Amino acid sequence: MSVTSCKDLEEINIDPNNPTEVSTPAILLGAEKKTMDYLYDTWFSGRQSLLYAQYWAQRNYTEEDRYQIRESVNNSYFNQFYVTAGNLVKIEQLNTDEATKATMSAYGNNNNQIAVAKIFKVWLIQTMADTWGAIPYSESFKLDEGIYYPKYDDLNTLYNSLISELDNAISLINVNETAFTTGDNIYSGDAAKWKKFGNSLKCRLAIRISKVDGNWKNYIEEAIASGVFDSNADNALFTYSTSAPNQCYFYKGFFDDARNDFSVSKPLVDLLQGQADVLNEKSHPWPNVVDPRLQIYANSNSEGNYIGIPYGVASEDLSRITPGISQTPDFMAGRPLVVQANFAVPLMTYPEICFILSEYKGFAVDEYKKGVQASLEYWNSQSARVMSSAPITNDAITAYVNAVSNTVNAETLATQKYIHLYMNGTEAWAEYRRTGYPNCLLKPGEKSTVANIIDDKGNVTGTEILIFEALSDTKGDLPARVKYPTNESTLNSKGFNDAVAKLSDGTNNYYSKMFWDVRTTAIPHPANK
Amino acid sequence: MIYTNKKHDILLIIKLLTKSLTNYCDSNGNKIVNANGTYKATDGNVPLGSAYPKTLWGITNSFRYKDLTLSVLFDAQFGGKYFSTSNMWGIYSGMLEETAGSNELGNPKRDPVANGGGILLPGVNEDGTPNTTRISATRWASSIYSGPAAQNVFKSDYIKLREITIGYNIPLRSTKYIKNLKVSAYGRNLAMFGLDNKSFDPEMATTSSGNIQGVEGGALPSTANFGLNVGFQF
Repeated sequence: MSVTSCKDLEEINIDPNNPTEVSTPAILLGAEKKTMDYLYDTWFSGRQSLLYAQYWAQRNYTEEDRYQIRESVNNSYFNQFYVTAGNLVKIEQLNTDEATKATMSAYGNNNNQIAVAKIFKVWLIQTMADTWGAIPYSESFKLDEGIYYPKYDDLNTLYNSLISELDNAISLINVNETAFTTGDNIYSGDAAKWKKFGNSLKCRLAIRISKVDGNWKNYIEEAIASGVFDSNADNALFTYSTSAPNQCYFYKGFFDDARNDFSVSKPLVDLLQGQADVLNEKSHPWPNVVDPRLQIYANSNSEGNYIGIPYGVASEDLSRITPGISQTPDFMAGRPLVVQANFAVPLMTYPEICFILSEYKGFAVDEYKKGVQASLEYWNSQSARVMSSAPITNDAITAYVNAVSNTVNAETLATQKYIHLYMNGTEAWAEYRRTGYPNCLLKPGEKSTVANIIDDKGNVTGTEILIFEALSDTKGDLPARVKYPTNESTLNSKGFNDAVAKLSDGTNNYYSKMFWDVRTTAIPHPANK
Repeated sequence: MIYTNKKHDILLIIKLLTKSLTNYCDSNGNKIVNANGTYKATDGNVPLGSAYPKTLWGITNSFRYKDLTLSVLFDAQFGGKYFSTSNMWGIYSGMLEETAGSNELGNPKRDPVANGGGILLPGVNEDGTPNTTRISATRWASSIYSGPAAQNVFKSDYIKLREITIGYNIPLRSTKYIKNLKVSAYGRNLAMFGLDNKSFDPEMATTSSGNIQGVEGGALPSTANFGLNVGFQF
């Protein structure tokens, strides 16, 4: 017979192995890396935003190119982004609560930390809003208050909240104090740079609403006064490492997963080679001008030529296109800059600000030329850093800038901005939806490529033209949005149903336009307000 | 301290046990097809059934005739459903039987639609008129992956002939050293009846532990086994 007793049952619930208090730098670095890993990978970028922007196309399975998403991926990424956004909110809380702010101030000025978390959060939420449209925000991150089913904020309201939150963040910054002593892989805790990024991000939000909201010019004016990027030294980039496991996820998608799924698309390559789309009788803004960035964006084939993958070809037809798939740049063999382990993924860069300012000043030539030049210098320097090769000479830069500056208007500006934004699929896809440019992007129903007709014995008996046929209804254009994840219908049914009811035709579709996308068939390139 | 909201937790558990996935869109009992001829999926998830069966049955019969014994065991389950990932990928990749053979016109399904091949899915268009849009076999197979998840949800009902045992008490001339000698032969998992999808054994879907229930993926086929028993009694 035995008797036992315990001293204090509550002690059992205390986990001696995992921390219950975390330092804000640890949360920040985790949030930064997780966000970049999920945004700039071969799923959210490779099989979605890079395809919609037609920077890349797939070599084997083209379902996603043709606007058919995988529900599991959509569900998973929507969830992950909210988790990392929630971590950023945690940083704000730890720096605000009386119980913790003193401890956290050891890692940097409290207000600066809050500002950094807010700016990064706004950048992430805007990327999500540009993807899915109206999403939960004002009622999100409030589980402690018992709000489990946040409503989806209308997109115009959401954009306004993001702009005011940026203003708030910028006002909190004290440039004479550190933001984070450690844990910031974007600016190493430099408060002055975060302030410039905050103002530049405000310009990105402003230009996005420029066709619908007259206040856009005021926002940019305020941002300029407060200080935006003024050179490539200010760029907001997240740089990966050559050491495992911190390589860029584009690298991992090719070399860890051992998959050769992507290459550059024909619309992009033709644009960079000054070739107009003759199949669809489109014009080119700078015929026969070869862009020096092409050799950095992709590697050439074995004959030294650049041939992009035609966009939107059905998977079963890829084997018979001519020229064949084997002629396109093989990223696995050639390992261009963008799939290197220590590639730097962009949050926002100085050339983008130049283009925004040019548009703000009514398509001004000086800012346009600064943007083009800065873009060539930026890509050249990234190539130097990663590949130890800077292939673009100063003479080539000058020649190219002059060749593309004869006409500076909505089309040429948007097209140069598109070329610069390579690898930032979401921003390029959003700017297409706002401006309707560049013209070279292939729409469903347009002609994709020539293909061989092959008989039963394998002989080529003729050729035909393959038409880009979308697998989801996008009303004859690129997708206006990605549909809401199906899990939301189960986990937040009221929010989901109310939001879907507000979409065009009240269905969870790909063609309901964002409020800032006011293109019509009659007016495919609306003017700014 | 862990804070829980009991009502919320219970609702979550109920949601986990009820499989919610995208379903066909329905018009008076007919499945709706998209303009391109594939089945239309619901906007969000819809409960499609329970991963757990409603009833489990078993029946054992034993017979004896002189020195021969025979025992037969059946067991069955009814009322549950499972999602088959093997079906989804098996059709997508053209491995399962349904992806080949002839269509309703008598032509090979895998022939081009222009030559009378392809598949015509039974259903109606959004406006209620019967579906007339033929789709290629590859398009149909791909829509099993990307279309309504309900296409891969099957009933997990089965009736299995679980075991037959035939035994024979060998008559002994003298019981001085050995009192009893019995030989029997058995066969287990001999037959399955009443399966919704003949390619997969639903028992492989519902016997896993963990919080993913009712999903079958890459399960090995169940095997029949046979054996012999010899029993001595001293």
